[in-house]
Amino acid sequence: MSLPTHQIPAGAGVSFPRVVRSEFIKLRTLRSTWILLGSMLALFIAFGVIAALASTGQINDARGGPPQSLGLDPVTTVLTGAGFALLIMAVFGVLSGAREYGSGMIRTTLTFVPKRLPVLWAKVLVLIAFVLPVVILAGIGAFYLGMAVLSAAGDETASLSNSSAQRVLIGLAGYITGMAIIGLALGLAMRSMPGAIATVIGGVLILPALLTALLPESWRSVLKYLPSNAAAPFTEVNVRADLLALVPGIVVFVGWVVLSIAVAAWLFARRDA
Amino acid sequence: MIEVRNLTKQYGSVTAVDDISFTVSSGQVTGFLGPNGAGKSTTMRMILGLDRPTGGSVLVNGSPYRNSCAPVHEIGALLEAKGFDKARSARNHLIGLAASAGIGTARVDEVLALVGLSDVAKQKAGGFSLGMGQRLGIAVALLGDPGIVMLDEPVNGLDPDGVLWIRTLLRALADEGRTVFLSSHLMTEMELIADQLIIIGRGKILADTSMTQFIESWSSNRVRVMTSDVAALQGVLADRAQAFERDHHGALIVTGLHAAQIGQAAYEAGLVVLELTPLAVSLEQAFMELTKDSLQFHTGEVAA
Repeated sequence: MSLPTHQIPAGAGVSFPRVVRSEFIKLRTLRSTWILLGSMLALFIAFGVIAALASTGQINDARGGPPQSLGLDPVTTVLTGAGFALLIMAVFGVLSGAREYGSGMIRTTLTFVPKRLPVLWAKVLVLIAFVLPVVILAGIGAFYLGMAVLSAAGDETASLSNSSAQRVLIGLAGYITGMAIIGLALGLAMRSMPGAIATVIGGVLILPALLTALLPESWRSVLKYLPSNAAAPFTEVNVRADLLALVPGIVVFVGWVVLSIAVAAWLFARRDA
Repeated sequence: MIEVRNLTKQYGSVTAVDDISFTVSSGQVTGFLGPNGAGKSTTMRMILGLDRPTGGSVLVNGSPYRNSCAPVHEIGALLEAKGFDKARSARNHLIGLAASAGIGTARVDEVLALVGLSDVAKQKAGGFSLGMGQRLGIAVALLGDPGIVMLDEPVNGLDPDGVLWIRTLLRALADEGRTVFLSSHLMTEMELIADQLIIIGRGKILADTSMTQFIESWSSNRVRVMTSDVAALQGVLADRAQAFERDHHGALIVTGLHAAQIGQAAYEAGLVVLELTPLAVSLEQAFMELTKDSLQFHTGEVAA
């Protein structure tokens, strides 16, 4: 049977902007995306307000007094919810990296984009586009509402023009977004949601704190390079002398993010899908 | 056109695909037949660049699939029935994938109608039956209006309605001049649809032939005759039959003559025929015979 050559229409085909659009649609059309972003926003703000109320004595702990960890500086108090936001966004990152492996959809995706790496870059860009604005919104929301509570009670407050408040707010937004990217990289590299969630929460977030608490002082010079410790200089109000300074902290944390994505990209490009 | 050249895939010490070469020509239905685990899916994944060959190469329309600028316009594939996110609607699944190839929602709605999923397009794909999932997979394969359609076990697990639907669709695609390449472990499926047949077993190509040729070479022209005087009948048929054998019951197996011709000859010679049985070999049997021990059979034997 003879046959005319099949014509591919002009303008058809894969391009990076189209892959980004595709990944954007994929993430937008999952309800879990909105549930995770919504709960991050709600918890970040709610815990800020609750912490502010507690520190002003309007909410008491079980023993009838203000919780011991509070009553520090106002910026730290109102940003208490950042830890929850971090956990939720790390999980969100893992989901956007590993989810397609759970269903086998990754093979369909790579049939559409056989060059593969554009898929990874697009996933990273889209993840940033979803996480960063909501984290910034949540941080500012927690800051203003928390400060309003403190101010109403006549307690010490800080304004956004305060340089350490700016450093911590911007730093937290970058830290949480960066940890979401590390989650994505782990999800893509491990191809399993449970495994990658356990690794990012246990290994990246909890283990460094545990090691710092358990290992002798002499280990500090090594432990300060772990992601969560490297992030401390730009996510905490009080700069600690035993950790990295601000700029080295940023460099080391960004280094972790880049390293995780580089390893994921290397595996993603080479492995059988 | 798909050109597979000396393709090999090893997983550790296991050779899933062993130095195979074949061509899927344009404009016909090529069946890729083999028992489960023969290497069909692995070969298809290597065609799409999903698995990296240990050796050899695959060209799709003359170049490796990975290098294609418009991959899904060249070849549309269905590899697994459940390759979608359960939480997403069928339509959103298609819209998301289509976007990466610059394909718009108009085409998405078109393929949804084509596979008969328009009414359930906004439902979550997780609630789909196997048949609906298979239809969604075919919709994905057709999004780019590709010249080649490649389907891995498309009728697996489908009810008779679904099987008939896929068969009709594949015929229609081929009649539109598309190249259709489909795998199956069922010869009966291939009989009804394939023009060309590639049989694989234990990672090796056992036959690469047209369906017509395959049927000719395997359809039986042997007849079993029980008669009162075997030697006499053999004498009568000697100049017309191709070969004679005796089975363990003492019956004569005649090759190259129809039962009617033998009956007529026996009657004319005045011989009593006690039994006259054409020995049918179904294509399914032929396929079983061919694949039961891959190592003993080679491509040449079938085409002979």
